[in-house]
Amino acid sequence: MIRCCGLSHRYDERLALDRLDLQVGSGEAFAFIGPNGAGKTTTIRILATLLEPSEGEAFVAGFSTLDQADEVRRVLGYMPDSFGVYDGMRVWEYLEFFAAAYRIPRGERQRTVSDVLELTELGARRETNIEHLSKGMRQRLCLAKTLLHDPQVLVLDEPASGLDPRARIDLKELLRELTRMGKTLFVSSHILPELADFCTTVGILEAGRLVACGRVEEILRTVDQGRSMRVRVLRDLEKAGALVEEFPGSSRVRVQDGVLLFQFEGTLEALAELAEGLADQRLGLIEFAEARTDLEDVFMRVTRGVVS
Amino acid sequence: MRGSGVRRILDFLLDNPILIKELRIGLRERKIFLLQSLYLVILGSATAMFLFSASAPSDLLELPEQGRLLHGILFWSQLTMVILITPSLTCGQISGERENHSLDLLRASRLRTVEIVLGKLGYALAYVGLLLVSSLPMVAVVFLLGGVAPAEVVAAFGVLALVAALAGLLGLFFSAREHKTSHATNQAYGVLILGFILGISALPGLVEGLSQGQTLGTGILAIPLWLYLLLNALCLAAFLFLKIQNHLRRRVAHESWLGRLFLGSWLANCGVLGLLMTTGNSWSDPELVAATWCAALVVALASLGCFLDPRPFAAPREEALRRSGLTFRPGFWIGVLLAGLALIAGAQATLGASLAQVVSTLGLCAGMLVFFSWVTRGLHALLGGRPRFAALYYSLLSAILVLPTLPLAAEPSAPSFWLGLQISPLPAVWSLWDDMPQVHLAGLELDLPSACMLCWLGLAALVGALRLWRRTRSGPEA
Repeated sequence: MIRCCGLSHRYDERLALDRLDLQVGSGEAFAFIGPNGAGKTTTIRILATLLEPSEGEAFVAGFSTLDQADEVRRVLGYMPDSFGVYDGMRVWEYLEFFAAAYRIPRGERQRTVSDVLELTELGARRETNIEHLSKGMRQRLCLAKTLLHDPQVLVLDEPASGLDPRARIDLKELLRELTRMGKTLFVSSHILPELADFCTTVGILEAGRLVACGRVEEILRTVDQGRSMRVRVLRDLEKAGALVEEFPGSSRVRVQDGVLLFQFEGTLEALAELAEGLADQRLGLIEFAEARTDLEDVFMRVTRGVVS
Repeated sequence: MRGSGVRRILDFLLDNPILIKELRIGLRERKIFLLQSLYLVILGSATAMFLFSASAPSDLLELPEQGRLLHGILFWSQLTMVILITPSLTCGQISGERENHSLDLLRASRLRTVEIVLGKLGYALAYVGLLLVSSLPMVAVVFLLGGVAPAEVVAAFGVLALVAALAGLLGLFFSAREHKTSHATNQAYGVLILGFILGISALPGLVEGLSQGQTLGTGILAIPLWLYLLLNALCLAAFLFLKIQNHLRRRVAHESWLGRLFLGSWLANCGVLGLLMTTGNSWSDPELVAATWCAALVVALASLGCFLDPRPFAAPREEALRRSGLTFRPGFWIGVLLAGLALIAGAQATLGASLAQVVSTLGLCAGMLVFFSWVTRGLHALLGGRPRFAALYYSLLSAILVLPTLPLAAEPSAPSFWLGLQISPLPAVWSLWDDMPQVHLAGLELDLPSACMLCWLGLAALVGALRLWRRTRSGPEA
């Protein structure tokens, strides 16, 4: 549904995007993550036909963003990270304006506006002036605008930025609902746990280059050769750390919030031997378990904090 | 079929989402009603003061004279206010969207840039229309006094609408160009004030020429002065309109330099026109004819170049062009300009050509450069974006511009050559030159400038056709 072929973009002398190759299948929820200045917004603006790449080409639903911009706009809904609404308009007027801008026939506009208001739970605010809406409500309004022309692909740039926890949960539910409706989602966000809940695939961008792409488990398999382990002891954490470090197959030993974390490559028997060794040292072993790896761990492991 | 066509055009003009949105938001603002009230108070005061201060006529035959005077006062008052009000309505239209972070939402929608520009301009014109209609009761007082035909009042309203469109486009142009509304407003009013200062000297001559129904040029060259001014205004409006669209799409450095060069030349031409008018030249003076034709020609060429703009087609190659360093560095263009100036100044010193001839020829060169830049972009899109190719092509273009001036040194009847060079694309004036170098092109015997012009136009048509062909050929990716 989305395909980027050797996409590069340069702002004067700065290379923001460096030969990006990317593919997102139909119906997928794709999390596009990366540190600030990695090139996420540049990629999104190219997909939304707002920016022309210096090199390469991008396709949305088979249409080129360069030569078939109007076709791309027909099938793509774009929600930018920062957007303005028109004070002095009512909610329904705003949506009707964009319905006309997306070439929805005049006779169908009212019904379409009512449908998206219902989907985004803004029906009660239909007659409200936009300047009286909260930040979360405005975010919903922008999403409602994005859904007006029933796009197959939704490109959302930091949709949850600036929202309070409740509004974030509501937005996440809404996005989950959209994935259930079969929409292809391309979402960039800094709040990784939110993305992990509903995104099926992930792409990690750093300094304009895609450093990892695929399902979270697949990326983990390539990044981690072995298991992530966590150990808690009541006494002498340093000694426990030294013991683990000396044991064959252990690597990346570190202490985080009073917990000893490390990677282990070896058989289950070897792992059991290590556990018994720790227990024999009488350090007060209270936990020896495999750590659950989430999107944040993956992100931290594959990126080095480099900005383009 | 015809009905559906008319309906489609009406839908395009009246069901414009931007126009409806602007009317919805704009007409809810308090300042709109305050402005209208102020407008009517000023016009009403002017009418009342005239009627109360006018002495009672001793003869009924003096009434038409008073009617004409009142009509003049009302027209000039309205003209001044329209010029002042319209840019204030358009200066913040696009820069305001940028400041509000809503321009990207419009650009990512299915709205075409032409719809955005027409919607924004339409709002300003609708408001000016409202002002003009609301002033009708005061204008109608003129008919009580007599001396002014209804057609003259209609013509005056037509002029006001045209001026409003031009002033609105000027405001929109700066609004599209600048990121801040305050900058756009300052620049638009700065240009208006400059235009007023430069134009005031030519105004009495123009008004007199228009009122006497004078023509520009003689013989088959003669066209009514009003038609010449109208065509010039339309060309300028088309140029501004297309530049606004281009700014909405993307900024391109070398084109903005060429645009400045073009505008500078055009203003210089207007300045020469004003200078010649104030020094008591006749409208039929050949130098004046050359200068004025050239002013129109530069605008026409630039507009033609805009229409042939292969921007979306050539865009992927833009980076290669930029990297070549030729188009990005202003120094290159200043160098080309200075070289041209030196050559022309040399020719002027040798042959004693007049200032008007030199300035108008420079204007022509600037127009040509604008035109060529678009053609070049099209060729780049077709043939590839190699920097060396760009360097070679731009060198050739510069040579083409300079070469026609070289025979001047050996040409005995230089003034007619200058005139011929300036007005060559107009078949109506071919008869003016007899001593031009002749060339044979596809079986036709043509003078050199006409042959060059035909080649350039042919090249532009070819690029346009290839562009269309590529557009129609490209379908959805398999």
